[in-house]
Amino acid sequence: MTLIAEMMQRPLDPGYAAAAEAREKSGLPRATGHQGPMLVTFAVLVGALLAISALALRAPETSASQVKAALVGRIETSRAHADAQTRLIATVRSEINAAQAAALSQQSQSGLAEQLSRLELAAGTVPVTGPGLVLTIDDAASQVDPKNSDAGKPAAAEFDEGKVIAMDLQIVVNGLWQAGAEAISVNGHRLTARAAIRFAGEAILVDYRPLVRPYAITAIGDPGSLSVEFAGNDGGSYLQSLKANNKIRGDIQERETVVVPGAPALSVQAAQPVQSAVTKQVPATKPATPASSAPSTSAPLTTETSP
Amino acid sequence: MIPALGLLVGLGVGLFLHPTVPLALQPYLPIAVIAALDAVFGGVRAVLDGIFNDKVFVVSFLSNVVVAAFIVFLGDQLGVGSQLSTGVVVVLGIRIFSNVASIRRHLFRA
Repeated sequence: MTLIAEMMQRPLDPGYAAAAEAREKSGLPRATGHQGPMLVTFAVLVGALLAISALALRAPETSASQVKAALVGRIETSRAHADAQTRLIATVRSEINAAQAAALSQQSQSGLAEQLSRLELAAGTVPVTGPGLVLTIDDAASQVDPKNSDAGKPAAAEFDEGKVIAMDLQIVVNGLWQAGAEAISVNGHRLTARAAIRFAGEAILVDYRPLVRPYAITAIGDPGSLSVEFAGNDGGSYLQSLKANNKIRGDIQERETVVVPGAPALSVQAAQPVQSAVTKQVPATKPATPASSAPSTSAPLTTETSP
Repeated sequence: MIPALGLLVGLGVGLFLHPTVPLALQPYLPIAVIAALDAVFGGVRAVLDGIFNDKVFVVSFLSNVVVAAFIVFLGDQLGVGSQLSTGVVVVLGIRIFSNVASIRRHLFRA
């Protein structure tokens, strides 16, 4: 206890008192000046010590965030690269199309050129425009802003009722196909026979590209009948129930002209056409067709979205 | 006044240069900071008491830092580094608080 008592009662270094006594005895003032070079040097030293310690001991957090920022940067550069490649594909494809058209017209096979453009239109590889509607779906206006909340939380603790999931988009898109839409894109991604709407964790993927909310579904078709048919079928009623029960925001706008972009590559390598009329009678997804050496043409991808 | 400016200059230099501290020295930094704060508050109190002595200040600062670092080093070798760090922080913390209380009585008469 003497230790603690001494510590509490005489906290000032006794050296100061002793030094003051000694100076007084030798006729000097009790205190030295406090502007000496040694003192200033030490003040600088103490300041540097404080700053360096603060920086050094905060380092683990900043290094972790540096790694995170580096990863985010890599993702963004990869995505930009992929976008650039996609654009390159689009330009090269248009060149190919022009060359094809030139070649076909030179050989005066205009029938073939027409057939090609018709097939391209049906396959969804070229951008198309026409009257249609734009259906915008968004998460419910939530209490917590998802942009802030998802930064720290690794995963939502409970299922978020007001969040649009991939299945919602699938049902709505299927409803649009059913209502007679001729071409559909989601946030600028064309839905073709090989594009799927899937989920990866909480993200919605269309054609393996992640989407950012809000989700704008553009459908080409007769605007009047399209919206009427859609409102009457499963997709429309499902959207209504989403809006009513889960506060998900959905908005349909009819437009004079909408543009649906073309899909990137639609190359088919393994699949081969089945001979003659057998294709009409037997579903292509069954491999047990008599004439067929063809495997099921990418059926796992298309089941979710194809009409 | 000039030492206070020196402190600010030192802070600025440390922030500007941003030197990397070797990993082996990092456990001693908090202790060194506490020891330095103890010396600084002791010095301020001595100024207000009218018995300040720059030699005593510098020596007390150095000995505080060295002894605190040595105790932590010894604790690390014995496997009780964190406990001894806590002990050093408690002792120096009590001294800092009573010095600050004394400074407060000088400045505010309360």
